[in-house]
Amino acid sequence: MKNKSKMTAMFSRPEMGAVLPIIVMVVIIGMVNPNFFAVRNLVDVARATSYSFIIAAPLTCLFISGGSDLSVSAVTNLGGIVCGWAMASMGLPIPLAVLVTLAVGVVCGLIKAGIVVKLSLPPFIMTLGLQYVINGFVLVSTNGLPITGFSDSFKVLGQGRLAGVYWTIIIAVIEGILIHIMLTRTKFGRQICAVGGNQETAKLAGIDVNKTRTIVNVLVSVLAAFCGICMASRFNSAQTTVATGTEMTIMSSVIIGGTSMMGGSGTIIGSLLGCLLLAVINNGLVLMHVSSFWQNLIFGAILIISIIIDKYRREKSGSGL
Amino acid sequence: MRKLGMIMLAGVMAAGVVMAGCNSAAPSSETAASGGASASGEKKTIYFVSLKVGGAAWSQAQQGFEDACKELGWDGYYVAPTTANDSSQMANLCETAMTSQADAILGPLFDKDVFTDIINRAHEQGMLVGTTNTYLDGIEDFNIGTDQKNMGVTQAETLIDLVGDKPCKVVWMNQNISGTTVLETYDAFCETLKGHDNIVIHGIEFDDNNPTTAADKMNNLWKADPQINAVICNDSTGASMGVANFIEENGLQDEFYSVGIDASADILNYVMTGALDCTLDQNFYRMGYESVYMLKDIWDGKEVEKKVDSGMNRVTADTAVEYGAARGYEVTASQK
Repeated sequence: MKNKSKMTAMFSRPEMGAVLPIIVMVVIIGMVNPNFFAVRNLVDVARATSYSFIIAAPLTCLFISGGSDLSVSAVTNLGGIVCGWAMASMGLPIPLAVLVTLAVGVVCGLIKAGIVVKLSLPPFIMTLGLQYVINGFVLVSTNGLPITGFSDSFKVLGQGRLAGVYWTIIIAVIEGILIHIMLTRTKFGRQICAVGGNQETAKLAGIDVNKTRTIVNVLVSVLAAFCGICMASRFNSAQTTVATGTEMTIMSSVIIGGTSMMGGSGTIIGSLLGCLLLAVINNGLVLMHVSSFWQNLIFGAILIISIIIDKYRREKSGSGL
Repeated sequence: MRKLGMIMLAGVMAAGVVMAGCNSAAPSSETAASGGASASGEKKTIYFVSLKVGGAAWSQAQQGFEDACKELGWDGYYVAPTTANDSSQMANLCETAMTSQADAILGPLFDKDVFTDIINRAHEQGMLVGTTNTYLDGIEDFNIGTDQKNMGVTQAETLIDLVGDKPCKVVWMNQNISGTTVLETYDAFCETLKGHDNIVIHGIEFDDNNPTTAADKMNNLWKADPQINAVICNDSTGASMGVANFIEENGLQDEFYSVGIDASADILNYVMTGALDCTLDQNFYRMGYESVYMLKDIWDGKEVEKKVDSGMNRVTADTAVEYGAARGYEVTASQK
């Protein structure tokens, strides 16, 4: 009886929405191509997961607080370009260029918060507008051309490894742990959940709703800009459109991981699993020799089935959506 | 309420100032180039409806287009959709050009179904239409661009040169399937490789115009099939960058055969380091530049060729620095 209730409790956890499809996919891919389990391949899957997760983790906090952000990919593009410009044109050393980039991330976050929080405008459409503005700025300032000419030491962040593990994976893990602790163990984390659950109640409880939402918006933009630095480092070149189109994939990962788009609930572990699921699908379709013409179709179908399974699971466990 | 009103007023004023500034400063996405009187004695207004802003290839076409317009003293507007390759947005931009009483439309109008009606209406309005790098079976007044079949042939011949008699399994990587021209190139590539039994074709793979996708996909393909040891890139932003990154990270410069496409500073850097054996530059500058002069020739009463192949240049590590310098690119990597 006790075991059954434990199972039910585990099954009703929001992260299970991503766990079940991952297990199914891993089994299928492993049967078709056992190379999937090779350490080298697992490291590659982890690396692909890490880029999405660097942005998905703070985005989870934003979703929990009741917000959303379509400008993350544009801020990622901008982050790479600013860092590249700071190093190649201004001649700044790498640490200073990184700091300048993160400062630009803060500015982007504050502008976004100013529009969405202070003026109480709908975040979905406003951040879409901001996405166009930032991408436009990137193109205008670079004439659409990539920035190159960085020192080889800049490659370490995107290409370097520690004991065979890419630095981006290590950074993503540390970031995930810190944000998880912030969300679950600190007063600020509880405030984020309260704001997303019900803003009026949160206000009555003495929470500064605007401040909480602003901080979370800034956090998302700073880490999106940081992801831009990682991508520029990987290619040793700052590309103007390197992250264009990734915002929907990252948001999908967060939602698949059990975070509610309505706010109030969600976990960092869930988002990590969501990112992992998408990386596993992308990796697995190639390993299983699925034709490129079929890959998008299958990718979309798996996502839809994952959400349907999750809805069924939540209804069964009584946790609702 | 009053505060909101003030904010909105300030916003409108700021927007007005910015837009006024844009008109005089010529923005990069819609650039006017004007100067003295044209050779044909009449100032013309030309729209170049591109499929994207920026990028290694199309930014060169923009440069060529603007240089030619400036030389002739014409008003040239380089416009592009906010989402790359969005044919419906490109159609809207063509209609804007028509409404603006422009004299001609140039650009990579890549979908015959979408653009046939627009081209017909432009002709009825007395406009000229020239396509660049996409041929619409002669419904346009002229075409200048890479001959798609020749491109496939050149890619295959380059690969044959690189591989020699050694065994090879090649991936043909493209952004996506956008129109029949892509398959035309691929078919020509496959056809040319017939009889070279040491070269096996893996097939087409897509990179969604994203270097990370290209690098990850190449990595996965290689693990799934270790016999793969060659890539032909058809997308400068995605494949050329991503494949080179994959090769460099895995130290496969000596084992992999890689042919990039187009030439920007970063692609040429990868050629220098050996991550790309060479790159085939499609000469986009010439497409932008000469398309304007082809319009001039028509208005001057001269005959122009209906279909002009702008050619391709094969750039190797031996020529990359000089080639880049001629186009204003500083190639910083040293040859390995």
